[in-house]
Amino acid sequence: MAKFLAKRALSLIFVVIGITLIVFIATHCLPADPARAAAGPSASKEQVEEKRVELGLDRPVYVQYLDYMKGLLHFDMGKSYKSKQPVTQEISSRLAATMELTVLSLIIFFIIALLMGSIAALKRNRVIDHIIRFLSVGSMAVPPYWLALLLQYFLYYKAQWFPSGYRLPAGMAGPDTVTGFYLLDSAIQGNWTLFALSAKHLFLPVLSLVIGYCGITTRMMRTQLLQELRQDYIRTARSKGIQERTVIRRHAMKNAISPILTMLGMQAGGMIGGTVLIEKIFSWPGLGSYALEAIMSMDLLVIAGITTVMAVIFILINLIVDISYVLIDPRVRLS
Amino acid sequence: MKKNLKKAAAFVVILTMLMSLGACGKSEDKKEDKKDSTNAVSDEDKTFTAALGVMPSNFDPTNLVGAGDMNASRTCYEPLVEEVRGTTELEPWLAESYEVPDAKTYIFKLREGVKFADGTDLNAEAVVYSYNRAMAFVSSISTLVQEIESVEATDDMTVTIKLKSDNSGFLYNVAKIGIISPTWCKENESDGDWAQAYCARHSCGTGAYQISGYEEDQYYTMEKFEDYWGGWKDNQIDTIQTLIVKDNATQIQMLNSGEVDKLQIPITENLDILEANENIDVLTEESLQTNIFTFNTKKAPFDNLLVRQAVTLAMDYEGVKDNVYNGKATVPSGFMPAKFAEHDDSIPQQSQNLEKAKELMEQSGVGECNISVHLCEGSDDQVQMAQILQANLAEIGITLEVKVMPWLSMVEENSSPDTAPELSALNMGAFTGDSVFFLKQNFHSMYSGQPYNWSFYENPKFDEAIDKATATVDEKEKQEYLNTAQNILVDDCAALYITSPDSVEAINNKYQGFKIHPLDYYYSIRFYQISIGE
Amino acid sequence: MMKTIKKYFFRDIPSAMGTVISLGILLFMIIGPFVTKFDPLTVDMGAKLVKPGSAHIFGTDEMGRDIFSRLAYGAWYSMGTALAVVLLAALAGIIIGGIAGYVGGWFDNLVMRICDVFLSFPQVFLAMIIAAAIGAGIGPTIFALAVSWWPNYARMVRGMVIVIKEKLYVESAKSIGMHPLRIIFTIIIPQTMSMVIPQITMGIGNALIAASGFSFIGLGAQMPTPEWGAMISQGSRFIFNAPYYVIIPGIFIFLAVLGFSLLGDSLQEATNPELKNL
Repeated sequence: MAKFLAKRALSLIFVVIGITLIVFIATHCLPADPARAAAGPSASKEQVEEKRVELGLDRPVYVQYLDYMKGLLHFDMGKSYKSKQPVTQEISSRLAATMELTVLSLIIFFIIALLMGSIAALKRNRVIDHIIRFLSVGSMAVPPYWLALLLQYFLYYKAQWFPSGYRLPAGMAGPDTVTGFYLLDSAIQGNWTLFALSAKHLFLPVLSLVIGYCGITTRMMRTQLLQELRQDYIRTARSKGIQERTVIRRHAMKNAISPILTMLGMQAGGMIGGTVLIEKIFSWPGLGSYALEAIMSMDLLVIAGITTVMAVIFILINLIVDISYVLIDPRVRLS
Repeated sequence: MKKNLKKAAAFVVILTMLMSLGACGKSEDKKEDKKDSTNAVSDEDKTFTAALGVMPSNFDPTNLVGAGDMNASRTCYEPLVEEVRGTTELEPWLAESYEVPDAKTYIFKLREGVKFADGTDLNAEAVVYSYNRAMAFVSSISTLVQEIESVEATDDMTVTIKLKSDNSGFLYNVAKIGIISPTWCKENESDGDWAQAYCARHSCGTGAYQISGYEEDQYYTMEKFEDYWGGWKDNQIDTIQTLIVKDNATQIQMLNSGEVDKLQIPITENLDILEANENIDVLTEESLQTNIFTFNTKKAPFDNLLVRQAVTLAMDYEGVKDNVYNGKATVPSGFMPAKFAEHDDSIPQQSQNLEKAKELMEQSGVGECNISVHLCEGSDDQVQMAQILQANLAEIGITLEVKVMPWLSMVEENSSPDTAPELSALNMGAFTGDSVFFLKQNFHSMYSGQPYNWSFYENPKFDEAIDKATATVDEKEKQEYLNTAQNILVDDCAALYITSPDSVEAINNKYQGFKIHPLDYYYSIRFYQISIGE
Repeated sequence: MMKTIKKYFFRDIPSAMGTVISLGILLFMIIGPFVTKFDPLTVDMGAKLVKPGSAHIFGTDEMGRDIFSRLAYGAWYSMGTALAVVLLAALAGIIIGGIAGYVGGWFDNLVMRICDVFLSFPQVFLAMIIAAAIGAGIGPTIFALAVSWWPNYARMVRGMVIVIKEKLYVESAKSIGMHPLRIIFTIIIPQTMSMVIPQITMGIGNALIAASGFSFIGLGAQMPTPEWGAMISQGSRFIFNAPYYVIIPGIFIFLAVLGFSLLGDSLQEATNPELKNL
């Protein structure tokens, strides 16, 4: 286990170096001038040069890169040109919002996919199987951002059942920060009004993400479970007279879930990116729309910071997935 | 299965904890701010709710990065002289009176009894500090203070500003420099940064409202400053809440349903929904904006005056007005918007004359050609204008290619005539009320290849008229120079002056006293003037 | 012949649906521009936001352009983008994955680590940066998506190559001194096609969603290009009084993705019969 973790940590460092390098090279090849962006649109040429020196952008790219990496060791990602705030602070205040959306959607669609996939597999070729298969293919084909627009149109504008967006009603302060997840924090503090409100605000964005992503997982769950049910050991177990339900629970489910978890890890990454669109539609104060603003205004260190953080989270999720294999099935060896 | 569930649950918990690590960076003082804002939400009408598309990156009076940043900063901080809302005229503000002995010297006598939000008094030292701060680092208002030679406190309540060269329009710049509390700034400084980091998210000016809380990308709140020098009446607003709503259609819908009281976006579409709503007043005013396509006058075919004239005559101005802006626009007469008092009203409006345009094209001997226009990303009106022009130019044998680009790339390519396209779209709104500077910045040769003389227009006669208008303090003389300059721009077709869109704003009519202000790109509202009910 | 067609394209109801919908979209692309009497770009301000009806079957947009005609012409942009993304990514993936799998050792290791880097890079952010670098548009979208997708194909092909290269016929090709590149591309890669082609077909759908999403946030195709995602983006500004402007282009994306996904499934089942029984 220790060896495995060490190996993973090593690959994490490799990925972080790789990603920051790509970001640095890419942002320094941009045709637009970050010093000009920071100095303001009507600044004169002299003022732009002055700004360049102030921001240290006059130094060679490799010096800037090494400087950045040095800071990264102390979790210092520099300051935003625009707001003068430390990038770590800028990111952390928005990360929780994105994560609440992503994690909640992941959990919900994982459960839905597990249930629907299993039902479809166990009732193979019955009506319910066909319905589930049809729904999952349909879900895969729906563009999530389009779905979000429709949900907003029908459930906010037409029916007035849900708010148009945000985490809470206009200007209402969130619960005191413990995890940064409003739902969790308000529950911890026993503030159930806030809990209900924040759940109501989460509903539409989460629904858009869940529908958009659960199809493929449902399908995979069905396939995996069917494959397991055809394995020899299941037949053996059955022939031994063990109850069908026990067979399914003890053996088939357990083995079918592992590959699903792997995929979930990969999907989490895609989803963090995919929330950009959903965040924009629902005015969700997350990292995605902030990244878009940063790129438009050439806030270099913010761009680098966000991509680094995203990648690290992505890797950590996959690490957790790997570790959870061991928890679910101790026979799995980490290699 | 049960065991598995437990494990799955453990997995979920680990995941959750991991994700929330990111949330630990929140600072203490922000929590206090939050509590303040919840207490005050009690009286509904006393809280004015506005919607803004992007979170301001700064509340600092100096570091104004995006246009939306002005919304808070112009409310919290006040200048020595202020723009009368709805006009470009100036009135004494934190300065009780001022003297301009010559175009280089400005003397301000400060108002007595003005307090900053931290309880300290406004005095000459505070003004000197604020100006030094504005000059200390490069920011978007650097251009306004770059010609200052010195700022001195003549006595405790008098400030003298000396300029390097004559500029009779300098008072317009003064109206943009907010005065900040030096005591508070020095307390919150870190590494000699003039408290830039702290000021970005807090405020301490003399303004009627001060920042009281915010949540990144969600909202920020301004609370009334009890000791404001103007005093308070019962029917004024206590709290201003600005929500960040990223989607335009949603903003309109929220105004319509009463969730917000005012929008901070120029409204061009969905107007019919708002006009039909009896709780909402839709206000329309002429603006200080001219939307132009700059001709690259250093490159064929627009180095040829005849071709520029032909294009100017080919454009369907009425079509743009009616179709792009639903009739809520003015066909311009020259570059300077007619709302400027200094506008020369003898200049005729632009008009289409395709026959004449074809003749001029023939005379020019240029023949059929391909040109391209570059537009700024996210500007739908520019796309529509370009499409109309495209159809018009096809009639005189010019093929127009339309390309949309990021704003910063446009700035970059327009730094040299070789990289600039034949046409570049610019929606030029006045930032200060200085009409001389409005012309100068776009067409003076010293700005060639810099923002925003993207025409690379160089004409010594125009330069001379502008320089003289800048230097003189005599109003009549100034007007004569300005008339000359305006006419030169029309005769030379320095750019294609397409339209002056009206500013359209909508506000819930339970609030009175709101005036559309044509400067600051419409982002500065004097909330102090707004009252509830009659 | 008929049997082969049935095996690949009309196996069962979903498979037939996939084939029919995909064909329908292709037909719409080809015939649509001839059927409509409207130009997709011509502005007609007199007919702004006309509701779907007899004059304009799918209505008009905010500049009076016919939505049916824009969808028909836009299909070329949307489908073309999706196809280009998948083909580019697959091509790069096959070449890189093929060589890495065959050569093995440190080179394989390096390639896989590079794949990790690209896979951990949220593709939307990558696309944002690329769009900022070379400007938003269809070209940058294709480039950005292909750059972030090739590792998927590279991994898949590499895995298969590792298995195939142990086969006897590969060994014998080696023993007669065939050049390794020739072995990879004439003997091994064709063997992987049965897996790769269904993946490509299914990938078209995903690429379509991703590319139209880029247009939606303003990084992809720009107005007035009638790309479907850009149309939804533009329409979203009028959603409260002209919902059809958002709904109709979305239905086209939905159908296209559905069609190609089902078709991909069908091809996969046909080429890998062991999946059939599931």
